[in-house]
Amino acid sequence: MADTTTAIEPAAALAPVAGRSLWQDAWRRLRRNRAAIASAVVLLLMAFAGIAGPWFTPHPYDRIYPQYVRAPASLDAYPQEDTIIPQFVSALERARITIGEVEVDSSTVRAPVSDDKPLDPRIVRYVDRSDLFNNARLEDADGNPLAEGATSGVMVADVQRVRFYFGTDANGRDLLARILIGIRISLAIGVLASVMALVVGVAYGSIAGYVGGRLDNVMMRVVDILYSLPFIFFVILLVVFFGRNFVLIFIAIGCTEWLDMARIVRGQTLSLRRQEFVQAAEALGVGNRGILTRHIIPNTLGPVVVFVTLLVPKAILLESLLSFLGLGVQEPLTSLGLLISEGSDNMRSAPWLLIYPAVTLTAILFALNFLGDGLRDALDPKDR
Amino acid sequence: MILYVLRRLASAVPTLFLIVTISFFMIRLAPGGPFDLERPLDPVIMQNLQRAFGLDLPLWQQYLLYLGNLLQGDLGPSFTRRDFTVVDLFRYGLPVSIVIGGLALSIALVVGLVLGALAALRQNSWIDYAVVGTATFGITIPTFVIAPLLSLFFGVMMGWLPAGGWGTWKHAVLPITTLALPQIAIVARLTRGATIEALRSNHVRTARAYGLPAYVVVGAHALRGAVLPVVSYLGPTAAALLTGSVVVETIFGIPGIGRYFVQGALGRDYTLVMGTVVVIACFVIVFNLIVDILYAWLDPRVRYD
Repeated sequence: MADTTTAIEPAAALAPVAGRSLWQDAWRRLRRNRAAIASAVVLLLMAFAGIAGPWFTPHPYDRIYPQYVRAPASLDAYPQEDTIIPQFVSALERARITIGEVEVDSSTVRAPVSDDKPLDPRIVRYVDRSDLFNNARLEDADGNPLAEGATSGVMVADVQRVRFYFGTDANGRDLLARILIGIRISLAIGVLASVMALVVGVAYGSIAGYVGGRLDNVMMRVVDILYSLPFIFFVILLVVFFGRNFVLIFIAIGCTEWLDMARIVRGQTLSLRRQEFVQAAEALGVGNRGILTRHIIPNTLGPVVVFVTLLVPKAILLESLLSFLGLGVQEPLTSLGLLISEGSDNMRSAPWLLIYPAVTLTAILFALNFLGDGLRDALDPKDR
Repeated sequence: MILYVLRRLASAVPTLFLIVTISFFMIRLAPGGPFDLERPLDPVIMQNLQRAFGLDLPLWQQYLLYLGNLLQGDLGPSFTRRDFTVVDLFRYGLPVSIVIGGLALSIALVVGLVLGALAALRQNSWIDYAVVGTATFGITIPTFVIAPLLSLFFGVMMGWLPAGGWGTWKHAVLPITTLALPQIAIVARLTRGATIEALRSNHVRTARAYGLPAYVVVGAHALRGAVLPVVSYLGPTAAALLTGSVVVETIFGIPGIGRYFVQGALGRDYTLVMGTVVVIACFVIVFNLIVDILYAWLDPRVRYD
């Protein structure tokens, strides 16, 4: 069908065949790579979990439940049945009153209480204070509110059901909420540090490569010198100068990672600036700035994109390493590296604290690496 | 050749000098000092402490003093571990780190080379896929994830090996494994790539055409070229492994020197930081030299005259 139309209409035959750009080609190749697509899906899910997840978890990431320190991961609701009575009794004992037999039914717990003096209605606070119970009240035998001045009655409290699907940490905070926040922080630092490395590295490398000559020499020697400084040294200096905070960490990582980027972009630029289309642009009177931004930089993007996807896991790892050494983000905020470090401190008594964050981080790193490999194959077919 | 080695060693002196100078002034740039506590010390005590350690002198005098001591092999007293000199600390810690790092390095080299060569010889077979898949695992999972997981599984759950500490050979198994795993993965990948390339090269084809037995073709001709990238990778890596790993030493509680740098920098233990920098720099310089010599020996095209 298509042939007949082109034969009839000469105008259509003259129209240029819709070319496939480098990016369309790359996209087609990438789509065929199942590992890369699966990784991209995993990453999107992780990113979504990190961004939106913390709003949907039943517990805020920094809420401490003193009664549930290192509660094991479980799909059932806490408190477990056999802990309700001891906890209720220990809460009531602080009120220094006589306690009778404690009864538990599905959602409430009740115990007859009495004292030589009239019962003070304020003693319900001893019960409410516990994470296990809420809405504590004093009733008489018929279930009505206790009359003032009575010396005996029934203490009734609702059992508060909470769920910790991933357990709680050594301070009694919900691990699921903390992992979600950790994903958010780790991914954010990975992406922001890479963007920073991208911007600085591309600008620096393209200028050095395009201008060339003595400036290029000086700029690349500077890179060499920075390269030889140990990364940890640099970060420790930054951290002690400016204190520990989120912004500083990704700046520090970005500052150390742009060097490779600058080298790659410079190399690309050196070969691009001798090509015909750049000379054509020069002949047409395009300024240096225009040539750089319109012709050189867009053409360096292939290798740069590949490098960035491999930079993100590297930045996440560096951040995790810093957190592990105690130089990363500060409590109560957390990152996956910090969670793993806390988990390894508690692994004897609470192995889930190590396993869940470790699995999460590994999944992210794997996905990023596979995606990076897939992109390299897609954008750089000759490199296969 | 001897002349070349001597020339290289001589050129290491200015490099070392630059490294010492830069790090000396960099660590002094950091605010705070080694004797800062939560509760400030009595000013008189502080003055005495600073005088005792020579911190009251002008910075350039301290620098010259340090250089002078360094030339005599004296790295000074540790500021935070008051009973030790820095040289003492290294005398106790360095052998531990070298044993662990050296064993990890040897294992990584042997296992990685064998696996990589096997994968290359049987390209696209199940061995190849298994090696490449495992290598991806080993490269992706960071040490600070592997180390606690190994310790948890073999130490706490199974109870086969101690989960941490230092003393018998059993204590060394898990740290060495942790250090070796990622290196095995990288060495295997490098070897595989280089061997595949070498097997297609002219000199290997010639060796085959002469009718040499397969093990001679692979062992003496293909692998000889294929280990070149591995050798150049292993230079800096060997230096890093032998000078200890912060993560592994922290998790397994090993008294090596890997922790000195970070602890020293955080505690402003100036002499300890400087000592660590000097020791690491020496290792890097020596191993780079070894790599270059090995290169000349492995690849006859490389000449240093």
